[in-house]
Amino acid sequence: MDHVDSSSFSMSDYERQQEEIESETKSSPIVGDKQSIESLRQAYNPDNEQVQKKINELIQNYSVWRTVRGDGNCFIRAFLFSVCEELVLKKDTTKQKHFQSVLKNSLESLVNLGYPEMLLDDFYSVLDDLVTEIGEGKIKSVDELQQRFVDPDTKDAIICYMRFLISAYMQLNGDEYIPYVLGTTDHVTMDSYCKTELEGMYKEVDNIIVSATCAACGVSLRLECVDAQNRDSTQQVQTITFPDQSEPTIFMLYRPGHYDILYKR
Amino acid sequence: MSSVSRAVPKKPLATNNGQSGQSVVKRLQQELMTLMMSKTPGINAFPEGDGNMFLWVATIKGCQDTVYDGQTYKLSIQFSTEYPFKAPAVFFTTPIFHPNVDYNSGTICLDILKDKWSAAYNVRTILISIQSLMGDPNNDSPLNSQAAQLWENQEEFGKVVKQKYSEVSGQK
Repeated sequence: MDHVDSSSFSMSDYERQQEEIESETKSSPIVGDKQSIESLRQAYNPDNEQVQKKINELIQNYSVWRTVRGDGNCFIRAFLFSVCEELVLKKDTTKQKHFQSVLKNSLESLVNLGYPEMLLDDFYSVLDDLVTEIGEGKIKSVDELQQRFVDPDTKDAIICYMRFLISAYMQLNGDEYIPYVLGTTDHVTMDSYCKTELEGMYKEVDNIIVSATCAACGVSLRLECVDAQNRDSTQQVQTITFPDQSEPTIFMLYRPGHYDILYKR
Repeated sequence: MSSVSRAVPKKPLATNNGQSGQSVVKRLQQELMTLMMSKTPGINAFPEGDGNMFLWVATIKGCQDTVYDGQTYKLSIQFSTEYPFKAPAVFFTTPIFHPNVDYNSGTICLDILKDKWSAAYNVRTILISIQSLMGDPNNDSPLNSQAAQLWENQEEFGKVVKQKYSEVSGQK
């Protein structure tokens, strides 16, 4: 472990960023209610043709969206909520058992990697209990699931554990991810990358982590990217599927720096 | 032992975004047990004593073969209701002459207390890291530039440390 922050990240920058994050977190729900995709328009200037065109395109495939708080945890929270929501709605025991075994194996991996079991078990058990309750039918509706995701004693622990789960997966499959880490970040080891960019709460994730999250959980995700750029293509909304060519089961809207959940028509 | 002490707020750093205090207290009680059981050499920490689990007092003994050998420094650790998802506020209450600690405020520049913090760290790992930082500073990003410049000259550095320590601890 290197001891001292060697980046140019000064304390005042850090504190300012923390304050910004906190004012944002207070203003929006952790996991919002479903709403019509039409409401997305209101976030943009009606004269912004470029974006309005993209929203028109989105509306053809999606009718409803759900906002997730933009506190740096949005991708992981949106991902976990979507995975759990599918378990609640489809009552697919095989999928539920699979996710639970992913959780259990990740705890073993973390312990083998030298992480403190006693500390991680606190977060693991909260998430494992949640998935167990879904399996046992104790969490019967998406509303109840939403309640659990905003519950003060659940909301942080489950996100925290997902961060470590993804970290374990990336470290164990380092060969696959290290070229991207070397190519797009200042980190030279998986360990440093995971500890700095992933394991801490409220850290925004990059595409490497998005990809690893899907691989770690065996889930296929489609991202619909809406930004202000004009693309030289008939299709204006850029679509990315993780893993490539797979049939997605969960869908997210990506706007630079933020993820929300989308629902197919 | 320290004749110089700083006022620290008594209440937890409560925020609207926190968990219920109960789960934080449970975790801190668990950490206290771990610290007692592990008996890490030169490291001690416990709640301040007026029933406030959110404010701890810690001591770190300087390691052998460092300029701090034989000295004991006090620190204050303040937890928020968002612990362990956010790092506690940790600072030296015994002034310490060290490149990465501000002499007057006791503020520590240590990555795991800032952007490298994760919930897998705890009081014990924080204190071990600070103890290790004492003997192995990062002179590239000093909070005390005078100390950083002097570090090369360990003999002189040791003298300054000894003199300053005797001033604040009342020892000759």
